[in-house]
Amino acid sequence: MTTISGDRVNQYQRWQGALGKSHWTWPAIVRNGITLALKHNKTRIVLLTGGIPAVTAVGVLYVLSLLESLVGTDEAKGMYDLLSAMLRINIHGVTRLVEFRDVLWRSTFLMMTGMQMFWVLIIVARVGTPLIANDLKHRALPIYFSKPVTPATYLLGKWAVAASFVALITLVPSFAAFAVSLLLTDGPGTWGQAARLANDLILTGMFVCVTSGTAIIALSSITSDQRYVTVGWVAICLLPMFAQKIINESLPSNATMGWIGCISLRDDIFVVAEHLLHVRKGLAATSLPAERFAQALTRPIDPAKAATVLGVLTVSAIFFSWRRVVRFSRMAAAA
Amino acid sequence: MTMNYIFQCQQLTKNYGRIVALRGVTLGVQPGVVGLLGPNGAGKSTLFSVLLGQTPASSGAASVLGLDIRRQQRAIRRRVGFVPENDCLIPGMSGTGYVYFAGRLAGMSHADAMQRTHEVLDYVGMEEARYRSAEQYSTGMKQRLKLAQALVHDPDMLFLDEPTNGMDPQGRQVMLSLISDLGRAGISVIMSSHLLPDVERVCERVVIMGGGEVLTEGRLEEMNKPHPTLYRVEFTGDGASFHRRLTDVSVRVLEQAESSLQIALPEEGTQRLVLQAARDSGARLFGLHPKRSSLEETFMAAIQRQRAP
Repeated sequence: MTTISGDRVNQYQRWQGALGKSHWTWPAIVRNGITLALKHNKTRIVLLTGGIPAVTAVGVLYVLSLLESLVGTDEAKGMYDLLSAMLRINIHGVTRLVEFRDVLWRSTFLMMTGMQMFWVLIIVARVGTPLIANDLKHRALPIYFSKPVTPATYLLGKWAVAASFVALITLVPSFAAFAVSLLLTDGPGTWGQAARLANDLILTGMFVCVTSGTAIIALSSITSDQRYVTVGWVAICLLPMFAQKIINESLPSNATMGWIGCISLRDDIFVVAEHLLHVRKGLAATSLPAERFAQALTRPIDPAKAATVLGVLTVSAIFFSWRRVVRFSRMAAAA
Repeated sequence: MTMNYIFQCQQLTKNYGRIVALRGVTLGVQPGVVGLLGPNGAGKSTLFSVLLGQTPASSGAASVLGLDIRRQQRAIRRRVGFVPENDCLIPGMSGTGYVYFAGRLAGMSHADAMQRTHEVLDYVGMEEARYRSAEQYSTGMKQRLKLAQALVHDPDMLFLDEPTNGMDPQGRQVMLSLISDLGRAGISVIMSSHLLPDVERVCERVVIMGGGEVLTEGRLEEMNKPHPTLYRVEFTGDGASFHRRLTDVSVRVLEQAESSLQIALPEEGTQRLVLQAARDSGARLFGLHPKRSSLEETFMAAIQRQRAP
């Protein structure tokens, strides 16, 4: 019998329940990570404003649908200007817009993906950087590795936290924008086209979740100081982008870009997204001259090369973070 | 491996490069509250890590609760709780959230984890504070919270790494009471500590480690058993005469005070020589107490034996 709090006498009670399978402990890590991250107002603000690209996309598609019915009227001119500026595709003079609907929908979602990249950068910097770094800093690893949590479970849980927030910035608004646009307009064409677009949107969103999630997990496992992880993440995202811009400016616009065109990770994701959404192929198949939509597309980079760069990076990140987490798990008791 | 032992090691060795953290540890520990003592670098934390299945042993074999540490690591961690020495708190979490999370990590369902969280927090004496952020807790509360997270899935065995470190006397009292109670509730506790009085208070058995080896182990009462020839004598009368008479009958006087003597008998069972000397010198005896070696003496002797060339 043990007296603890003066007026209470507590005695240890055995528990008669049964423990579940230890492979399924990772959802607990995800839930905990999301709950902790959502306690911060800044995270909530980023998530809320992360809907801006989707709202923009809905607006563009609504205007496109209006324009179809207003072709030839005075009001149509302003709409042509707006859509050409937003999509960076010169559609002035195109009267049979219904024939371009599918590719314009895809271009709109590509534009939205490009805009979402900025919010991905911010949300990952806020939510992803402390995922492992904070556990290291506060020596919280014994709480995980004294329980039946394996390094794989831990890593999966932490990755899923980052990926969930990226999905809340990319996949969820994309799908919501798609659904709302379907309700407000006549859709991209046939039901088959709508289904294919939905599928491509999911693939694109998942691609962004996987690549950014694994990259930040690897970075977060490097050091216990979250600030360095944030600086590293921003540097990885922005510096190659600037380098790529300088390279692009210094080369002639029709120059073939090989591996040198795959330096910027943001551009690589955009190239792969462009490929997954079939925008380049779709625009090339239209009767529009190439110079009218050149600005909407990236430089002609082989998507396989961009995907290879991102794939190598992702696999390396998984391998690196796996090694780190295994090492941490072995040090947990003596941490 | 025998089921009578809560853990058992056979020639267990762990090397970190050239550093030998565990050196052929062979040990079998029976259920109960066990103290694990040793200076820094003795291998206590490494032993915990190896037994929890976190660090693979370099060679040898070990089992915890009859489960092999190489093949059944997760099964071991489902039946064992661990209280680390450091805070290991996750920032932003309340006491309740922390223990609940530990329960979920152990594989408990939401409802079970929540119910059990409140049970164990009640048990360790966390009242309203359980809803506050754990970062604001005092050292004592943090230690109790760590104990609660280790208990949430009702383990059969607990590893406690320095559970009373940095606590005030009242907090220590509470923690030691909890450890004793857990022992009575049938949970085996392995407690590493530098605080020998704490170990003496709650532990039934003691393992002393040094340099990665087990130096000595056994029941605390056996370690503290009366010395066969060393006694303290309390008396009144002529001390000098009593001293002379004792020397005449081959009893060595080690230390002399006004009314007490520390003596060494020539051999075991010769207490009658003291009675004879007292009678001959006219001294009146009040007490003849065998000297008991303290845990500290046993600990220091074990460490010195190990350091001796």
